[in-house]
Amino acid sequence: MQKIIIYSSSLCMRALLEGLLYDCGAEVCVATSRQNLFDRCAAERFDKVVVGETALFMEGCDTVERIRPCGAREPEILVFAPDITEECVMSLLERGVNQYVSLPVVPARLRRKVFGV
Amino acid sequence: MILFLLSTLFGSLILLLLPRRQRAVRRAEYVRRISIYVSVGYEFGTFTLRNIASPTDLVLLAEAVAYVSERVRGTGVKPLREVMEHYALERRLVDRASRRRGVERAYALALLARMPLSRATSERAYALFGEDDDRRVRFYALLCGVAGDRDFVHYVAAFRPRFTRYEMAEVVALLCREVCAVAYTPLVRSHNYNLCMLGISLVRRMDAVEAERELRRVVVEGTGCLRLEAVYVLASLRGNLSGVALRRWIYHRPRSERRSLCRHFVRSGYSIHTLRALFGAEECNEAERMLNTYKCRIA
Repeated sequence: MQKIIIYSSSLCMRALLEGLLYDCGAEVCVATSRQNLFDRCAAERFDKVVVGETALFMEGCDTVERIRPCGAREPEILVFAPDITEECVMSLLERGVNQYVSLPVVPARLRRKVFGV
Repeated sequence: MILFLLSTLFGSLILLLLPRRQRAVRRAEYVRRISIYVSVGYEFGTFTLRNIASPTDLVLLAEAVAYVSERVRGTGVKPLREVMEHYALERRLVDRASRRRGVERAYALALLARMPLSRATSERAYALFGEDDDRRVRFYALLCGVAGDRDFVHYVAAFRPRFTRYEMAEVVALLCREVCAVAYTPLVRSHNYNLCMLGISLVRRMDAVEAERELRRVVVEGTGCLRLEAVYVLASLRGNLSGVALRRWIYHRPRSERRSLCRHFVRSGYSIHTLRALFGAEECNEAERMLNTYKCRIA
């Protein structure tokens, strides 16, 4: 079974992502803070990390290295955020994010992207 | 004595913050339940929460629906309409707006405008509050009208006074929410300030390079803020900036505005030759400094 962790600094965004990814045959966890996300990624093996904001990757911290210790290529990182500029999307991809999905999103399309179903 | 005052202050702060935190947690729970329903629960029967009785519960539910509505589209809209009808959110929010004044009335209308409204509710909200004395109420009544009615032009044209930048941004965000096709060309050609500014904002939002000719017409024939905005958007699209009219207009702008325009043109990727044709020595020197730094990417 796939293991997915969700993070956003906004309570409502966490709840939204958790609800949209509900009951898809995967184990979905929620990180309540940045440090909680990094600690859990270091302690457990996740297949996907779903982040509900871009600020985590834009503030100079080594986010991707802390999510993927030892230079691994997993977990896959998906970022969901409102429409942003092409430059910002390119910056995210250069930092190691695998996919960027702009909001608003069609629920079925989101589930296909995350779970491939 | 000091200790007593500090403890009173601390206690008041706790009393103030605790309900706010509880409301935030409850709102997040409503968002979670609604998004589950939108995602998978729609097939399994009607949506239920515990009885939404108090005004606080109503506002929290409305905020949750509005939050999900702004982030979900397509097949996610119909379940949201079901939730709104089940709890009569449209009628209750319009009633709430009728009973309140000022910013509370505007807030109720703002929540309504963020939801997928029915045409009847949007027309009713606009009819009741479109002529209110408070500008904020008038603006959010207009947004309600635009949210439920695809024929939004007469609402925008009738709004007085002119939109501010923030109001324009909200209107554009609302129009783009459902990713519907909006014809920007007639808007840019309009003689109404609000409609023309809306058209230019939509061109910027959509990166519509086909609108270059219309933008140049506004640059040559327009006045005031419309002309300035058209120049900025034309530069963002890397359009043609040649012409005596533009050069003369830039020459008569205040110094700070000329420098701001020059910086924008540099960031948009125009060469120093283009800038020398439009600006004086001072702006060109600054442009060369910018071009020589890491702040500009040269293709």
